[in-house]
Amino acid sequence: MNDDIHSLIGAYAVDAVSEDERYRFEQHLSACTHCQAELVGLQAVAGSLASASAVTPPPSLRANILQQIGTVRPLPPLVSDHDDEGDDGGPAHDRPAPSPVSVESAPASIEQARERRRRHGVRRFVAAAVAAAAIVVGGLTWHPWTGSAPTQVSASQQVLHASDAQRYVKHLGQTTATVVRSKKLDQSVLVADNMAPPPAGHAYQLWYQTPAGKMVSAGLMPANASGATQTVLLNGAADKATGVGITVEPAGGSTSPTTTPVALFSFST
Amino acid sequence: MRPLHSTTPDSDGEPPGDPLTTLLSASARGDESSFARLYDQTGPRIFGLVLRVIRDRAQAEEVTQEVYLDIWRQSARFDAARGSALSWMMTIAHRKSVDRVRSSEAQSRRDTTYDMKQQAVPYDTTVESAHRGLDAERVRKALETLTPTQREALELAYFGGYTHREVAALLNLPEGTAKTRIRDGLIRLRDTMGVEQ
Ligand SMILES: [Zn+2]
Repeated sequence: MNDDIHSLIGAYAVDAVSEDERYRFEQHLSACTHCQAELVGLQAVAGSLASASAVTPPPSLRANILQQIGTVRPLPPLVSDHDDEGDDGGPAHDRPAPSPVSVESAPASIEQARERRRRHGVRRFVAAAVAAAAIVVGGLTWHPWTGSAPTQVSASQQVLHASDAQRYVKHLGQTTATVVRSKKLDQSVLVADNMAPPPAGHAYQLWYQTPAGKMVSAGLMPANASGATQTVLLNGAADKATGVGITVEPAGGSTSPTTTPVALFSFST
Repeated sequence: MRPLHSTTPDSDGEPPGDPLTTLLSASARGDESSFARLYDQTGPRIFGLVLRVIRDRAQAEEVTQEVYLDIWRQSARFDAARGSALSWMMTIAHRKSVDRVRSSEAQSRRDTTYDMKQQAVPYDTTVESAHRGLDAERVRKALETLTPTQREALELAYFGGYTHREVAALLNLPEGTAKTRIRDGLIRLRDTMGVEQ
């Protein structure tokens, strides 16, 4: 089975894998240094295939993109919880890469000193973005653009990479929503791709279903730019839950679901 | 701009020599003018790829916009130890394009006959500049060293957005062999073009 997954590297490099294969290969990749080294070259080759396909985009596209980035702050670098380097003057890319290019789940690779410098440099962006994006979820304040984000990402990463991670996928039109649960960690994570923004004045709320069939709030999805991948750590205990639901609720959330779920994930299978 | 350059993982502490890498790190710090330059230097490559996979111009513009927004958001997470900046950007663009065509099941692009016809006229789009022309020439020459099946499998996967299983079905290959053709094709191209490991 391991040989089989190893041989997916070419298909993975050109995105010719199913979602399940992509997930399994990325799991393999995180542990296989051979594939990590090989993938760098294969992805470069894949990118060069399009070198004769260049087409000048319309000027309006440039204007739209530059206008749009003005409203979004770049994500902070991923930093490790436990700083095992301990020096401030090190170079930026000095940690061996645990896995190759992965669009959303790139592991920590930039050390703390850089993070400190970065925070200093982008303070004015933080101020603007936090006002737009901070959402209070039960007792937890979600600040996607501040220092709490790396911790959240890191907790999510732990679930995503847990040895007992189970994965439940739903396709909703252009959206792909995946719940990953680790019973061992007693946590689960929702990964949503291309999730359309909720109706104005509303938010997506996450729910755990209890064995008794009750829906208990697991937090709100942070508002985000369309088209992006969102990774949300659910609030509450995952181990005993029998499923996860997503509903559209008034901004701020509800104490129990008030609408038909847009997605339901059953843990029973 | 050499798209095939890849930085070795042990380039410890060196200032990044790739201008795109410099522009990306400035972008990560919120520098919008650097990002504008990054866009100007890569826009035709990215848009061309997205357009080739998606085919519909309006949708390609939409996806290209998503791609650049993502590049902007993720800029701090680019790691030069894992490939060049351009390769990273192309990887993002390709994945988003493939995700888009796969999620639009109703599109006529899934018509196999049409798809195979398209494959007969590769590499006919506008070449932006002399150095891109050179890259394209190298790629074209390298592609000639592939077996027809390797080449077809690779093009159906990369430009068609098909999974290796779908590629196997389209080419009447036993299931499980298309992924081998794709891998062998990529390795051969890599070796022919001398991509650094
Ligand atoms: Zn491997």
